[in-house]
Amino acid sequence: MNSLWLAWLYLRRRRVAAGVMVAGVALALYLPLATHWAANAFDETLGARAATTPMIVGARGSRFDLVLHGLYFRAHSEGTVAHGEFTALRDAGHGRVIPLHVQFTAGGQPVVGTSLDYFEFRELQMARGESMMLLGDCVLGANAASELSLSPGDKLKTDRKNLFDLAGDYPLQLNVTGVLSATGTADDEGVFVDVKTAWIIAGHGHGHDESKYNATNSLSAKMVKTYLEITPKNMGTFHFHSDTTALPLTAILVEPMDAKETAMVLSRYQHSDQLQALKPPVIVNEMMGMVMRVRQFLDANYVMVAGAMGMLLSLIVALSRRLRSREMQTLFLLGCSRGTQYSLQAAELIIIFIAAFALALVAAWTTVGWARDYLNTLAG
Amino acid sequence: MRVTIENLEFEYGPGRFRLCIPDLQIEAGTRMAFVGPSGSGKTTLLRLIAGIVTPQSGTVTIGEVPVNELADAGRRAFRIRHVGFVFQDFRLVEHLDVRENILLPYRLNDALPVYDSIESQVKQQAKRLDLADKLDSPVDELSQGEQQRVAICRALLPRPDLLLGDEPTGNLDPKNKDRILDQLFQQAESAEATLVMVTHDHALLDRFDRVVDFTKFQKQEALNE
Amino acid sequence: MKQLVILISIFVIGCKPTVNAPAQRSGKPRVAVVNYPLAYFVERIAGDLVEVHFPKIKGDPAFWKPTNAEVREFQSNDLILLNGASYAKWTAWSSLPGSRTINTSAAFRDAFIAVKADTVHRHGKDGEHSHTGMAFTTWLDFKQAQQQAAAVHRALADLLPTHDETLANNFAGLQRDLVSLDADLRGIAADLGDTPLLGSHPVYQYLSRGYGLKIRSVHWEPDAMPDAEGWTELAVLRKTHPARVMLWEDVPGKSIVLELKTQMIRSVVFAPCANRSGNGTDDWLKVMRANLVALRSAISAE
Repeated sequence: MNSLWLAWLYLRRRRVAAGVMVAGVALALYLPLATHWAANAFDETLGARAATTPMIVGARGSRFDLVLHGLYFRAHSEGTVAHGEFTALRDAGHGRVIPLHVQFTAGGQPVVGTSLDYFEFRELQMARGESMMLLGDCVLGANAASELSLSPGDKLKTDRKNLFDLAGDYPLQLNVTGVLSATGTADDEGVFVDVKTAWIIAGHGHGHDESKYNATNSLSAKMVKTYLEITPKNMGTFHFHSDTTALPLTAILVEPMDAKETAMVLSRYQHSDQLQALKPPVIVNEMMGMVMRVRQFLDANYVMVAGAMGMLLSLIVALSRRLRSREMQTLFLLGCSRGTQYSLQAAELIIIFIAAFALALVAAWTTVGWARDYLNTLAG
Repeated sequence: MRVTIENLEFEYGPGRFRLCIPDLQIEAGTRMAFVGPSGSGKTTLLRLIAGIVTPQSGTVTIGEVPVNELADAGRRAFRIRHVGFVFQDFRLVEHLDVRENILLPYRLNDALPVYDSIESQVKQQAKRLDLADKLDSPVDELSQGEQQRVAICRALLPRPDLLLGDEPTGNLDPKNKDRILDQLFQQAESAEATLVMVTHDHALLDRFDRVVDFTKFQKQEALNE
Repeated sequence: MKQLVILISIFVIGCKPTVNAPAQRSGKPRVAVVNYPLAYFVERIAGDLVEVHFPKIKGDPAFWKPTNAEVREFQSNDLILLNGASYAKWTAWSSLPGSRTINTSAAFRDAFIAVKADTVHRHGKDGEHSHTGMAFTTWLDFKQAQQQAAAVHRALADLLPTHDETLANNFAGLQRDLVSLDADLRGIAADLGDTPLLGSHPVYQYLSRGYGLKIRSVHWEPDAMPDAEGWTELAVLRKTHPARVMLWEDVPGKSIVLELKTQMIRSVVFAPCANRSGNGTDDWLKVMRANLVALRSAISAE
């Protein structure tokens, strides 16, 4: 105990040197810790999300992109799947089928066009307010609500894809009807709307009540329509330019009833040139396999780094003993045994390692927390 | 505590320095001064008595204990318990404050366990040596004289039976010299401790019971008063 | 005075297009429908196995505008059956759970009839509406009605997997009735040949197409005497379409019947029965049979 106390007093007095040592060791410990934890967090978070998403159907292209799109609302530009495919899948009775249309953002958060089934599918609970009911209604994920400081009854405009595209589609003002309870998943980031609302944002449908276009700048009010709003008065005029079966979805989530239905859905798209059906758990395993290989490579590096660090520390200890030879001599003169001298130095190293380990733990913990948040905000 | 030195021979670095003391008795409670030119072996003899170094031959007996015949650990434990040493260059640990320097022997040795009232003992001792307001100060911020007093305070705290001083008043002004010497003598007296001190200050010699001049000893002759 | 207050209260409550408060949950699966034909199909196929949620709507369910609470009530059902063909436009503006919402006319989606004319008109208390978009009285073509009944059967079979046999038997009975209606109407249509007919309202498009009837419609309401413009419109229409029978959705006012009679036009009620009948005793099948009897007797009289 005395050794630890004296070591602490020594380190306290040599703050800068001790700080540098702690930082160096912490960094060496942080990297493998953070890598392992982050990889595990990736594995757990992605795995859990994928496990609850048995199947996803979308345009052919990158499998990873489609799965990340379905799980994390990540932008997916490979193509679309017609809503008719959704109704055909649903009517075929393979199981629960949920449309997804994720193409736009509102306040930087992904606007997820879907149906009420999505909430049941993900077992999302309403923390405040109610689920969406009419065109233009939206339900916010917990983080989206706090990020945007919005509550039920508030309004939220969708983001314009291109600010300079004055001839493009107008942002739609959404009515916030509810806020979901936090789930620690990508759902916390979403702005959920009915898929029909998403189509209106995309310009596939519109209303005719011109007076409801609003302008914020009085000088240009007559010329510039800044956003579109769906009101009880103009709601009846909203319609789609084509049969809704032809309107696009960016993905379809499928929860087949059993293995047989799963096989049937897979075979349905096996030879399709345009569409593909994927099992997210399989794709995520594949992704994690790649992550594991990278991790193994990093682990080999960390072993070498640990070796180098060990040698460096030995050198530092040896140099330190030389630099502190007078101090050691004093301790000897005061009756300190060699063993106690070693224990003093060991205590110093122990304190440095404990502090470094704690620092590395905190840093790795923070990194992993951030990594989880990052996973949830993969929408891009 | 009585110190008896018999047939002591100590050689430091073959051919460089040789100390031979056939016989030297220091009676218990004696206040003895070692004088002589630098390099005459005064400090070495103090270290031999303290058991910090051991002679090639002969014996150093403190009380009834032949110190140089003890094993390292035994010699160290004996020294910690019975011998106080004020070093010429103070031997303070610069990263510790005054309090911790005074307490350092207790921290380093199981032979001197830290007891509950040790803090108040430190304060009392520091007060006597005019260090009461310096207890929390880093020693490297103290003057030479203050450092000297910290070294003395550290040596006195365990109330040793034998107090050895290697010019303990060397860096003090005359007023402080007397005060410190008073302290040393008072402590030695109250503890019935033997006091052996190296000094170059001949003005102080009157205050000692015995003075050993190392000039003779330089010639490697038997020291016999 | 007290009686007057009660009468006014009854009138006000009666006029308000409201639904009943949510029915007491019986523990049975709840099936919501947007019109009476679908409610009838459900009742015939599932009987007491389900609780049918069809709001008591004053007026035509096709133009019903539910309140938010009524939409929520719809959302909460275990199965939601839509007519399709743009029927009940509110369903297009509302969020309904896709997995529990079935469009019963999806099988003949490609055969929907687009309505080009955009005539806004008023039905007494119902407020203004128009018939743009799709013709939606799909069930008046009884072959289409059979397809819709089949869709209802499939949806109920998914909802009640342990009652396969009961549902199949009940559905077979319903199909027999629908086939019988179809055969009877084909017989009447054969007798009619190219005889021109008038429709008081543009709701007979599928009836006309399904059975080769030559029906052209005006936009008259059974409870409102047409204005001069309406009569002129009829006169112009008859120059190219010399019909002597007009089909009505509901019993027309006596004065209208008399006026038409003076113009040698016989009034025949051919009710689509989109809502439950006023007396509450005639079910959809009875009304359809009465329609056929009325039409046949009109032809015989001619």
